[in-house]
Amino acid sequence: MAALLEAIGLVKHYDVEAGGFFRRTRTALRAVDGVDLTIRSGETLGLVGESGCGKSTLGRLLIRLIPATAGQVVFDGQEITGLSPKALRAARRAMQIVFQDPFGALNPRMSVEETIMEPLLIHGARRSAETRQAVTRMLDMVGLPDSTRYRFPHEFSGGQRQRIGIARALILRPKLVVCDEPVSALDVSVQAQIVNLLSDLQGELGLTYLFIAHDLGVVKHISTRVAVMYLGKVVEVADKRSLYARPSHPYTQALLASVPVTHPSQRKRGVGAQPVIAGDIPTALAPPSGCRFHTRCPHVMPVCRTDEPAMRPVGTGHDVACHLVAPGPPM
Amino acid sequence: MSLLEVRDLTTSFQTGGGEVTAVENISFSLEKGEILGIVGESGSGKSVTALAIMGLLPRPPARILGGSIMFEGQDLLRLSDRSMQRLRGPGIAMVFQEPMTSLNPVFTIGEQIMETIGAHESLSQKDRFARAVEMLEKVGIPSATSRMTDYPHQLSGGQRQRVMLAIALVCRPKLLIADEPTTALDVTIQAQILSLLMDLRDEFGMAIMMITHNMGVIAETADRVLVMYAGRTVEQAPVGRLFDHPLHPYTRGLLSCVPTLDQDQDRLVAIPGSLPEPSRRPPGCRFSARCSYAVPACGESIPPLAMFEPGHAAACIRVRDIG
Repeated sequence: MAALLEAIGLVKHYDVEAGGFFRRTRTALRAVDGVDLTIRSGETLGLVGESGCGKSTLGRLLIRLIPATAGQVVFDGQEITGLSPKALRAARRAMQIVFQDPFGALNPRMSVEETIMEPLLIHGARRSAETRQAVTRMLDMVGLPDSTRYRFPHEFSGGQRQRIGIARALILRPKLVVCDEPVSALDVSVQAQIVNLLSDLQGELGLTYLFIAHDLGVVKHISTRVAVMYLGKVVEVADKRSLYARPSHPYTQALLASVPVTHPSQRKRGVGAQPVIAGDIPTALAPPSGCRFHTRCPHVMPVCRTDEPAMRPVGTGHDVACHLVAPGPPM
Repeated sequence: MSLLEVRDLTTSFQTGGGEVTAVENISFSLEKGEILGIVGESGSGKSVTALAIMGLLPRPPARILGGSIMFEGQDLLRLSDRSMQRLRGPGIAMVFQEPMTSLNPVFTIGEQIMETIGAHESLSQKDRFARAVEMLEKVGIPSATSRMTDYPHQLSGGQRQRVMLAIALVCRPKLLIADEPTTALDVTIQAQILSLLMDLRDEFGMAIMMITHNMGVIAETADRVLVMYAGRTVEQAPVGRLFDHPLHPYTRGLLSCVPTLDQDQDRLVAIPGSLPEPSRRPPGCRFSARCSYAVPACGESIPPLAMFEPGHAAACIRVRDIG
C-alpha cells in the first residue's frame, strides 16, 4: 500500500512557565518529540498510549490543526507544514477530524443541517438544493433520520451527536480522517454502533483513518496497524496481529498486561500476580534521559539511562525502539 | 445477618418536567469481606443507590419513596443526620470517580487525612500524623512523610485516587463504596488501583461495593454482580455464573458489545438505540425498545426479578424461550 501521509522528525514543544511563584522559568513541554510515522492509503492506523503521551497532539499536528515546532508532514505528495494559509485551506478538504467530546464539538446554536453543511460553505459552495441534498445523503449514511435536520444538538444523545460529528467530517469526502477518541465518551452499549459505523463508512468511501484511543480492545478491533506512544515518542509500530501477539517493547507489554481480564476465571491474584508496572508517566517538561521508559521499565540496563534507542525492525513491518531487542535476533 | 441489606429501595428526583424515579425496587445484600459489582451505564441509577446508602442524596430534589437500608441491623433511612455522620468513615466510606474534584485544593493532603481521623477518634496531633503517614504508605504513596505537606495539584491523577482511598480507609470502614474508582485513570494505573483495593480487602476484611460500567473491572474484582438498567435491577448472579450464563438480553449485549483482546470478530455485536431518558422510559420492560428478543408482552408490564438458579435472578419474561 502506498503512503498517504508521512511524518518525518515531527516535533511540538509548548513554551510553559514552570517553577514556584518567585522563581518562574520558561521551559519547553515536549508534547511530541521527534516522531516518524507513515499512514498508508486505505488503512486504519491505531495510536495508543496513556494520557499525556502526546497522541492527541500528534493527531492534530499531522493534519496541521496546530503548527509543528520542527519536522515535516507529507500528505498525498504535498509537504503541508510550510503551506500558505490559502493552500492549506485547499489541502484541508482531504483531511478531517472527529473529536472525542460529542457535547463540546458541536455548536449548540446551529441546527444539524447547518452543522453538517458548514464545511461545504467554508469551501466555497453556495447554500442550494444541491448542498441540502448532500446533507440528506450524509444523514442517511450515518444512520440519522432525515427529520432530524432542523433539530439542535441538545436534543440528541451522545451517540447521535457523534453521528452528526462524523457526518460533518465526511461531507467534504476527505481522504484521511483523524478519529480522536471517538467512542470513549459514549456509553458502552452505544460504542459498538459507532465503531461499526466507522468501519462501514471506511469501506463505502475508501477512507484512511488515524484512530487515537486508549482502549486497547477497541484499537485491536478496528486497526490495520498500531503505533504505541510514550512521552512524545513512538516506541513501537507493527501490524495489529504482530503487535498484539508479540509485543516487543516493555511498555507495550505492560499496557497489554494491564488490560482487565475478560472472564473472572483468568484472574491472576496473589502469588505470581500480573506484572503491573509501577509509578506514573513522568512529566513531559523534563523527560528522563536515554530511553524515556527507563524509570518504569522492569528490564532496565545501564545503557537505557544514557542512550536513546533507535527504531529497529524486529519482524516484517514491526519496528521497536528498545535496547533489549537489538542487536541480535528478535526475542 | 448481612452487613448491608437493601430492600425495595425506590427514590425519585423532582425535575423541571415533574417527578421521575431514579431507582425502583432495588434489593441486594452484601456480606462482610464480599465484593459486589454493580454494573450499569449512565442513568442506570447505580450512583443514586450509592448516595442513598451514604445518606448523601440531596433532599430535595431527591426523595426516598420507599424501602429500607439495613446496615448491621439498623435502618440507615431512619438515622438522624448526626448518627449518619458518625457512621460515615468507620462504618461506610466512599471513593468517587473524580479524584480531581473530591479533594479540597487549599488544604494539604496530610491535613485532609488527619481531619477525617479527628472527626471520629480523639487522638493527639502526633498520633493522627503517624496514622495518616501509615495509611499513605499502605495505599502506595512513596516517601509518604514528605508528601503529607503536598497540595492535591502537586499529585498525579493516580496518586490523588490513592489519597482518596487513604482518606476513605483511615477509619477502617466495614464497607467501602467505590463509584467508578478507575474510570478517569489510565489502564496501567487502573491495574495498580484495582490490585491495591483487592489487597486492602484481604487485609481489612472490608466489603466493597464496586460500581462500574466496565465488565473488565467486574471480571477482575467482583464476587457477585448486580446489573442495573434505567433504574431497575435486570440481573443478579455470582460473577462466574454471570459471565458463563448471562440470562438477561441486556447483560448478554453488554458482554458481547465490547471488543476484547482475546477474540477477533469482523463486526461488533451492537445494542441498537440508546438509554431512555428517565421521563421517556417505555412502559413494561425498559430494555424492550432496544431488545432483539422483545415480544408485545414485554411492553405490557414490568417483568419481576425471578430466580432461575440459586443466587441467579433475572427480570425478563423471555429467559426460558431464548435459551
